[in-house]
Amino acid sequence: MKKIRAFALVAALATLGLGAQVKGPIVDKILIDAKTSEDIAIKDVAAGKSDLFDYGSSGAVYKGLPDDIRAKLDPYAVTGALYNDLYMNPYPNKAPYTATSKDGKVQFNPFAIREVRFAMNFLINRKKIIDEILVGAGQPMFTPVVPGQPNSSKFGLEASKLGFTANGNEAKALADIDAALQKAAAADPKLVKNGQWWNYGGDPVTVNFLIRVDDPSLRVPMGRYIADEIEKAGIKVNRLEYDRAKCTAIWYKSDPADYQWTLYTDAWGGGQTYAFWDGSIAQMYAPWYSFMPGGGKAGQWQYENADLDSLTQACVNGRVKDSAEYYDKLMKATDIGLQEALRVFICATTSYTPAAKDRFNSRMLWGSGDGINNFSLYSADVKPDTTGQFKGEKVLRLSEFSSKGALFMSAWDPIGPDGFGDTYSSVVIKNVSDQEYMANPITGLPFPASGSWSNVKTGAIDWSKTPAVGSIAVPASAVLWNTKDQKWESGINYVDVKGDGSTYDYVKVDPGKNTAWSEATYTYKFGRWHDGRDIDINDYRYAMARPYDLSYKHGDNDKVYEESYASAINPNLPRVKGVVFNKNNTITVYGDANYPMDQATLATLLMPSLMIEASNYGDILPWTVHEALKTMVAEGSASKTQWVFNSNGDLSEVDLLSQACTSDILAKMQELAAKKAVPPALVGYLTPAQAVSAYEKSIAFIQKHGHAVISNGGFVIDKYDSKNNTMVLTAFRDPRYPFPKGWFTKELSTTYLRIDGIKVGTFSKGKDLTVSATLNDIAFPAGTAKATTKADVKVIIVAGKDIVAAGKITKAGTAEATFKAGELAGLKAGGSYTVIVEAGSAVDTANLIVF
Amino acid sequence: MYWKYVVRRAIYGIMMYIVMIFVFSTLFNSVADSTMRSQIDEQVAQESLGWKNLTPDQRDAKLASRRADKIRQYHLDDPLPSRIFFRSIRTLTFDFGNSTTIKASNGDRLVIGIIGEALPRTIVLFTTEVALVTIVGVAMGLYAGRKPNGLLDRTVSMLTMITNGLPAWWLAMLAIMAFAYNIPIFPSGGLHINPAPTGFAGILDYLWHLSLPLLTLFFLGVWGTAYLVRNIVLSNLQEDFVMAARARGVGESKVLFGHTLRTSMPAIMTLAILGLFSSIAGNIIVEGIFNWPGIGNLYFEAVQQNDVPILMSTLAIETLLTMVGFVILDIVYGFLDPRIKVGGTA
Repeated sequence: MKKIRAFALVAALATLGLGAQVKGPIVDKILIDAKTSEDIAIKDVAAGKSDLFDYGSSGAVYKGLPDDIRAKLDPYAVTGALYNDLYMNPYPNKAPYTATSKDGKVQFNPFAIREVRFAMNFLINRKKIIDEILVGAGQPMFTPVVPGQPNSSKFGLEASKLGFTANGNEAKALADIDAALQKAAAADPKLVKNGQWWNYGGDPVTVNFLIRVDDPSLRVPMGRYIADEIEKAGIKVNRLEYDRAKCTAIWYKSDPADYQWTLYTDAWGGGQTYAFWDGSIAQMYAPWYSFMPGGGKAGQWQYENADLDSLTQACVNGRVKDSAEYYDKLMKATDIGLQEALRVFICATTSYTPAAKDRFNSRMLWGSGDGINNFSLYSADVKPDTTGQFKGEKVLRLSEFSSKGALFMSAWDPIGPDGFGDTYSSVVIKNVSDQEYMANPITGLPFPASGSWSNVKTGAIDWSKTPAVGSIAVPASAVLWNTKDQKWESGINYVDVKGDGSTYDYVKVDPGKNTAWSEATYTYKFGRWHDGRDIDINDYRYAMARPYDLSYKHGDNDKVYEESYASAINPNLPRVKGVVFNKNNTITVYGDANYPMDQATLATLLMPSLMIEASNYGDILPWTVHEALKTMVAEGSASKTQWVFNSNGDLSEVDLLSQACTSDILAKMQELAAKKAVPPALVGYLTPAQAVSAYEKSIAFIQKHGHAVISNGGFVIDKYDSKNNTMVLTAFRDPRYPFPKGWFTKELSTTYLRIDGIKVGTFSKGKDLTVSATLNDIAFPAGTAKATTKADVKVIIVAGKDIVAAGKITKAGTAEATFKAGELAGLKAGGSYTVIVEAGSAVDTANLIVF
Repeated sequence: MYWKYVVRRAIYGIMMYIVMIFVFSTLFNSVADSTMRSQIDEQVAQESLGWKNLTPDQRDAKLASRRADKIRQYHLDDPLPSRIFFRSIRTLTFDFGNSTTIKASNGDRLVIGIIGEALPRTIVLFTTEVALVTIVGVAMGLYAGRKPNGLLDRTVSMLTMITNGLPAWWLAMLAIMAFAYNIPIFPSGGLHINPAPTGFAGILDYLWHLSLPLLTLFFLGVWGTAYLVRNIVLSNLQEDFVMAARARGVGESKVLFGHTLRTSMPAIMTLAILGLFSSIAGNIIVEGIFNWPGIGNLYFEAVQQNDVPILMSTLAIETLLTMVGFVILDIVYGFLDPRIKVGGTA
C-alpha cells in the first residue's frame, strides 16, 4: 500500500511538473509587417521600431551604415546565401575549336579548349574580388560547395590539390593559356598571334562576355575585372552588359552552337544548410541535370560527359553500397568538374540580417546556409513589452522586405507546386507547421522532431535489374492506398509503368514475393491541431492516401486528379512498397530508398508525414481542410468561383489566407459536416460522429480567425490583415504540443571548432618547418569564441605526394605541427605549395613558398 | 460651333487612346514573351534543385511538365498576335481580367480589384498633395507676384531652387530621419501600426501615417507651384488692362483676383488639372520610401513580375485619365478666358 501511495505521489508530482512545463516558442507573439525600403527597414531596427528585418543585406550596404546605426544592430552574417561562378560556352569542345555564328561567320572559341577554361582558376584573383568589390564580405569559392558549410572541406581539398588559391597565379594562367593556344595554332594555321592579340583568319579572337548589368555592386565590376584579365592573354573581350532578361535569353535559351555568348557572370542562391552535396555537384557539372550548355533541350548542341553523368547519378539516386563508395564517386565527379572547368567558381557573398541588439536576451538560432529560418523564430527571446496592448508579453516585431509591400507573393495553396513558393510564405509556414523531422541548421543532417525512427534497415540490392530489386520482404499485411478502388489494399505496388515517368499505375504483386530495399518504423508525438483536435494515427493514414488520389488519373473526367501535383509527386510514390499500421500507433514502411551515407536521411526518405504538398515548403493541414478543398475544387464552391490548385491565368488558385477562398472552404466544411462525410481513406477507422466533431472544430477555428491555415506548429496565425499587410502569430501553448519552451535552443546549441589563422613562416630547404594554427571553439548560437584546448590536428603539404604531419595543441588556441627537413627534401626551391590544416571538422589552407 | 469642336476633340482623344492601347499591348506582349520564357526556364531549373531520386527520364518528364504549366499560366501558348489583339480589346472594353501573379488583399487576381485597392491610397496621398499644393501655391504665388522682391517672393524663389534641385527621395529620407528617428513624432512608413486599430482610432492612425509623406510631398511641391504662379501673375500685372484697371482706381484686391487671376487661370488650370490627373500614377520612389502601397508600387511590382494585365490596365487607366484631362482643359479654356475661342469662328 505504501508503495502504491509513494507511486501515486511521484506520479502526481510528475504530472504537476509536466503541467507546469510551458509549451511552444519563447516569444508570445510575432508581429509581421512588410517594408518597401531596405534602408528604412534597417534604420527602423536600429531605432527600436522593429526587432528583426528578415532580409540579408549585402556587405556594401551593411558596412556602409553609419557607425551609430551599426552599434545598435546585431547582424546575423551568412556566407553563401548567394555565390558566383564564371560559366563558359565550350562549343565545340574539341579541335578545331571553331563555331559558326548565325551570320555565317566562323569564329575561334578559345574557351572550347579545356586547358584555357581550367587556367581561369589561376587567372582570377578571388581575393582581390572579395577585398575590393565585396569589401571583405565574402569567401573564395572553388567548387559548387559553399565554404563553411558541412563537409565543404572535403571538396576544398580537391581544389587545393589542383593548386587553386584565393590569390590565383596570373603568370601561370597566362603561360598555360598561351601554351594551349600555341598548340591549337600548330594544328590550325588560321590561328596566329599578332603582337599582343591572337587572330583567327585575320580577325582578332574575340569572346562575348555577358555581364549582368542589374547587379552593379558585384557582377559588373567582377565581370569587367575578369574581362581585363582575359585580354592580358591576347583574347579580345566584347563586354555585353545586359540585364537579366536579355542575358537569360542568350545564355540559357540560345543554342551553344550559335555562339552568341562565350562567358557569363553566373550567380546562384544557396538556400539552406546541406550535409550532402551530390545534388550541387550534379547540378553544376553533370549534363544530365540539365544545367550545362545545351540544358538537355532538344535540337541544341549538348555538352556531354558520360563519366560525370554516371558518377553523379549513382550518388544522387543512392546507387552506392556505402559512404566510402559515395564519396569516392562524388570526389571523382568533383575532380572531373574542376578539370573540365565549364563553371569556375569565384566567391560566396556574405549577407547581414540585422536584429536589434538591445531587444534580445540571447542570440537566435540560424542556419549556416539560409540565415534566419524557422529555428530563429522558435528560439527568439526578446525583452517583454513594457507599455501598450501587449504589456508584459514577449513580442517579436519582424519586418519583411517586399517591393510591393505585400507580405506574401504566392498563394497559400497546399497542393499546387507554386503554393507557398515565395521566401516569406515559406518562413512563416515553417513556424506554423511542424515537420516530423527537421534539418539541423549547422550540420544539415535530419533530426527527429515530432516523429522518430527505429529499426532502419537496408538489405542487399540487386542493381543489375531495372528497376533495382531489394531483398527485404514486404509482409503480406503491408498495404497501400488503392485510389482506383478507394480502399487500403495489400499485394499491390504503384509503379512507373514504362520507366520514363510518363505513366503510373497499380500492379498486383505476389504477397510473398514483394520486396523492398529498406524498411523503418516510425513513432510520433501526435500533438494537437490548432483547432483543438488531437492529432492521431488517422491523420497520418489520410495524409498517406491523399497523394494517390491527386496523382492517379481515373479518366478524362477525373476532377480530383491534379496534373501539376501528379507530375511533382508521382516519381516519389513508387518508392513506397507497403505500409503496416502497427497496433501501438507506430508505422512501419517498406520502400525502395537507399542512402548509405546517413541512416537518418534514409529514414526521412520513407517517413510518413502529415505534409501532403509536393514541393516541400512545409505546410501541414488537417484532413478536414483537405477534404473541403478537394470537394470545393472538384464539385464547385458556394460562391460559384472555380477554384483550382496550381496557378492558372484564368481561374482562381486556392489560397488558405484569402477571404474569398476561406469563405468557400468554410461553406464546404459545413456541407460535409451536415452530410457526416467520412473521408474514404478513413472509412472504418473514423465514425461519422468523430468526423462531424472534427469538422466542427475546424469550422470554429476558421470563424474565429478568418483564414483556413489550421496546422500543428509552434505558432498559430491569430490574425492576417491583408489590407494592411500585417500578420500576428501567437505562441501555441497547448499542453499536447510536443516541444517545451526553449527546446529548440537546447537541442541545437552546440560548439564547433574554427581555424582563425594559419602561420606557415618562411622555409628554406634543409631546415625543419613548423606550421601553427589559431583554433577557437565557437559557441552556437551565441557566437562567442574560446581558445581551443583539445583537437585532432593534421597538417598536409600538397606536393606530388602529400606530406602529412600530426599537430598538437601547444597552448590554448594554438596548434603546431613540425615537418622534418628530410620529409621536405622533395620540395623544389622557388616552388609554391598548398598547406592544408585539418582540425576536427574544420579545414583551412595557406601557401608555402620554398626558398 | 464650339460643341462641334468639343465632339471632335473627344473623338480625337478616343482614337489616340485606342492607338496607344494597341501600342502598349504590342510592346508588353512581345517583350514579355521572350523574357517570360527565359524566366520560366530559369524558375523551373531552380525548382528542380529540390528534386531527389529521379531517373534522368523522370527528371526530364517533370521538367517538361512544369515548363508547360508555367507557359499555360502566362498564356504563352497562345499565338502572339492573338495575345496582342485580345489584350487590347479587353483593355479597351475595361475587361481587365485576371493578373498573372499579383493578388488583391482578399486573394483575388481580378485586375480591377487589385488596382481598386492601390488607387485610393495613391489618391489619398498624391491627389490630396496636388490639391493642397495647388491651393496654397496659387495663393502664395499671387502674393509673391504682387510684391516682387518681398520676403515671400524671395523665400519662394530660394526654396523653389532648393526643392527642385534636390532629388525627392533624398528629401523624403531626410524627413524620415528627422521626424521618425531624431524627433520621433511620425512613423517611418506604412499605412497603420501592427496590429491595425479599428474604428475612429484606425482613422486617426491612418492620418498619422499619412502626415509625414503628405507634408514631405507638399513641401517639395508647393514652392515650385508658387514660383510658377508668381511668374504668370507678374507677367500679367504688367499688361495694359491691369494698368488701365489701376488707373481707373480699381482696388488692388479686385485687380489681383478679378483681373490678374482670371487671366492667369488657363495656365494655372493646365497646371492643376494635369497635376491632378497625373497624380493617380503615384510615385514609385516616394511610395517605396514611405512604404505606401499605391499605384506606383503596383506598377513597379508588375514590371518586375512581368504581369502584363496589370501593366496594361494601370497604363490604360492613367492614359485614359490624362486624355480626359486634356479634353477637359480644352473645354474649360473658353470659359476661363473670354479671349480664347478655341474652335470657334471669328
